[in-house]
Parts: sequence; C-alpha cells; structure tokens
Amino acid sequence: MSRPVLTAMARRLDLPVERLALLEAYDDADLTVLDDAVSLAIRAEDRAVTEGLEEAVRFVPRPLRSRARAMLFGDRSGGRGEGRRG
Amino acid sequence: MGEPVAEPVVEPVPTARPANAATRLAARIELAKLAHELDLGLDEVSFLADADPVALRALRTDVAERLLARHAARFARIAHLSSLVPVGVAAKAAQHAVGPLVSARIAGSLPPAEAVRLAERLPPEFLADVTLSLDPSRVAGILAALDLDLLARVGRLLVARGEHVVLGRFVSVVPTAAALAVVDGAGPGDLLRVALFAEDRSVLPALVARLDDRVLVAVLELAHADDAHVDALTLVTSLDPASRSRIVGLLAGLPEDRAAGFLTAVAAIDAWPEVLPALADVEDGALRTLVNVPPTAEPAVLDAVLRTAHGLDLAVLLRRVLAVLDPAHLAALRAAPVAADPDVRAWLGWGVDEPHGGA
Repeated sequence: MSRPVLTAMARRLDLPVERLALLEAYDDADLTVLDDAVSLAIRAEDRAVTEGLEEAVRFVPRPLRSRARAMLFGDRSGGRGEGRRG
Repeated sequence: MGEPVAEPVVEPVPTARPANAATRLAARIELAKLAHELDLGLDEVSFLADADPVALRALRTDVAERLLARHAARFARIAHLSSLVPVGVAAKAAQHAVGPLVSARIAGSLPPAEAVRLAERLPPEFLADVTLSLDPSRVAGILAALDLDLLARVGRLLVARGEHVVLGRFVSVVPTAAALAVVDGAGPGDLLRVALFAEDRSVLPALVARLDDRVLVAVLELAHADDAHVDALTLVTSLDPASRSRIVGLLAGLPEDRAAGFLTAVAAIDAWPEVLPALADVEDGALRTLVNVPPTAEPAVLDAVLRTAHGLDLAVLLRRVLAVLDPAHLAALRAAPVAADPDVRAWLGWGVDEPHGGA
C-alpha cells in the first residue's frame, strides 16, 4: 500500500505509483519537499506555457490571430490539470 | 492546464542500495541532475544520497518526460504557427513573448532547418537561457546543423555560468569540434564536472584524445587538490585503453602523492580491471614511482591487484611490477592471501617455496 505523499506525487506526474518505488524508504518530510518541488515545477511549466503562448499570439498577423488562438487554447476544457486527480 | 498524454509503460524500478565510492559518486551526479530538473538545492535532495543511481536516473527521466508531455500537443501547434510568420518576427516573439522555457519546448517540434534559421536570429545569451530547458535528444538535428561558432559561444556562456549539468547533457550531442571549442579555455574544474555530468560518456575518449597533456595534468592536479580522485578516476574508467594509458603515464610524472591519492581511489572503487592494463605502457622508472606508494603497501590491495592481473592474464605486466616493488611492498605481497593460491603461483611460474618467485 503506497503512502499518501507518494500517491499524490504519482498523480501529479501522471505516473503509476510503482515508478516511485525508490522513494518508499524515505521519510514523509523529505518526500513532501520533493513533492512540493514537483508541484512547483508543474505550475511553473503551466504558467510559462500559458503566458508565453498568449503573448506569442500577438505576433501572429491579425487576420490569423483568432485561428491561432483557437489552435492553441481551444482545448482548454480538455486539459489535464495538476489538481485533476491529485 | 496540461494535455492528455499517453499512458506510460510500467517498468520495474531498481531499488538496491549502493556499495562503494563509485556508486555514491554516481548517485551524487544523479542527484545534481534531479535537483536541476526540479530547481531544488542539492541539500534538498541529499536525503536520497544512498539511493541506487540507476533508480535515481529513472526517477529524473520520468519527471522530465512527464513535464514535457503535459503540453506536447500544444508545442507542436505553436511550431506549426511559427511557420506562418516571417523568421524575424518568430525570433522576436520567441525572445520577447514566448520566453526561453517554452522556446526550448517548442524547438523539439520545429523542422531543424527552420529552427536553425530562427536560432541564427537570436542572441547567444537568449539561446543559453533556452538551452537550460532543452532536451538534447529532441534537438540533435538542429545542433548538427547549427553554426559551430554559435554553438561554441552559447557553450562558453554556459561554462561561465557554471551550468555543468546542462553542458553534460549536450556534450555527446554536439559535434566534437564544437565541444572542443567550448572546453578550450575552460578551467580544469569545469572540464571535470562537465565530463562527470555527461549523459553519455562514450563520447569522452574522442574528446580526451584531442586535449593537450597540460590540460589533463591540470585536471589531475585539481582532483588531487580537491580530494576528488574518485571523480577523476570515474572518468578514467570511462575512457578507452589508449587514453587510460596516457593519463596513467601523465600521473607517473607528477609528485608521488598524486599517484597515492589516485591509487587509493582505485582500491576504493575496485577499478583495477580498468587501471591495471594501463600500466603496461608505462616505462619501468615511472612504474616504480606508481606502484611503491603507501596505498599499495596494504596486503588487501595487493591481493586485489594480483587477483585482477591473474583474471586478465597480465603476467608480463605483473612480473615487471614485481621487479620494481620495494621490500616493504614485497612483504605486503607475501601477506596477500592470493599469493598462496597454487593456480596463481603456477601462472606466475613461482616455485612452491618461493614467496614471490624469481621476480
């Protein structure tokens, strides 16, 4: 039975918890630091992608801009957010 | 915010614990890479210092791949969009809107020729920022086509910033000429660390073969000064036999304590199978200097030497070693358990009553 901190990290990374078997031997306090770092890295990646692409659309010629926006952000509702399962 | 990604294949992850200094060093290298991936300090992942390096590598790779996979489809779409605008506009957008992290992610989805045209419009400082988040395996085609001078300029910026983990990821992907241009002028500490962090060390022999003796001596001296003999030795074991012989020969020309430190590391990680054959090309005077150091006066160490020489059938070399050993080392050899092994004695041509043969 996996510990909650490992289950949470596995969900965050969208990995089977078995892939984190290495971490079973360590304290929750240490693993929480690692899990927080994973969470931060995911949020930083998501934020950078969203902000970067929003800004990038401004460089697309105006007639194509709405099409570009739809291409890049039309799938928002289908995204796999960090907190979806975690 | 991320996008659906393919379900990963579940593979068993090794969890065995390390055994010696080499394994601890390998774990330390992997921890530095994991810390880099998660933007953590080394102290924050130090609780994993005793973990199996292979398992750590699997964890790091999983984390990196899952981060990349979250928006992979979106990166492919923005790469397509970039072809709709002039390259100058795309370069301006990359630098002033998209930013280095997302530019790095998108780069892997761009056709190499387009990515090269874009890179040539961007300042090396920005490209260095982009490189921090690049996955070398996804941009090998781009790196192969980029101007060598531009590659070298970006690489030197990364050296100046101390980005050894990042450089280590690229050392096996960039052309050898570019790698050499980057290390030209880099300090010995930079060289040692970049080589240690190299994701694929199979490229190191080709690089070392083209480095000047004085550069390699500086690395050996630095390893001695920093008590980083295991680090240096780990690299030596990654090299081809000719490079190993060359480095052992250089070591013999240095003050005795350098050889002592190096051979202590050899004993600590049991690297005799890699190091012993390298002694074959060393002339007798240098061989005498190398083998008569304090660490090799231990019966246990000489036992390992003798066992390895026997296993590799290095009889000619061993006879030369026996001929130059001083009395204290010969006495230690007599005390080595394997010296009593009839097979070993017969292999060396020692008589039953001769403690160390006719050598």
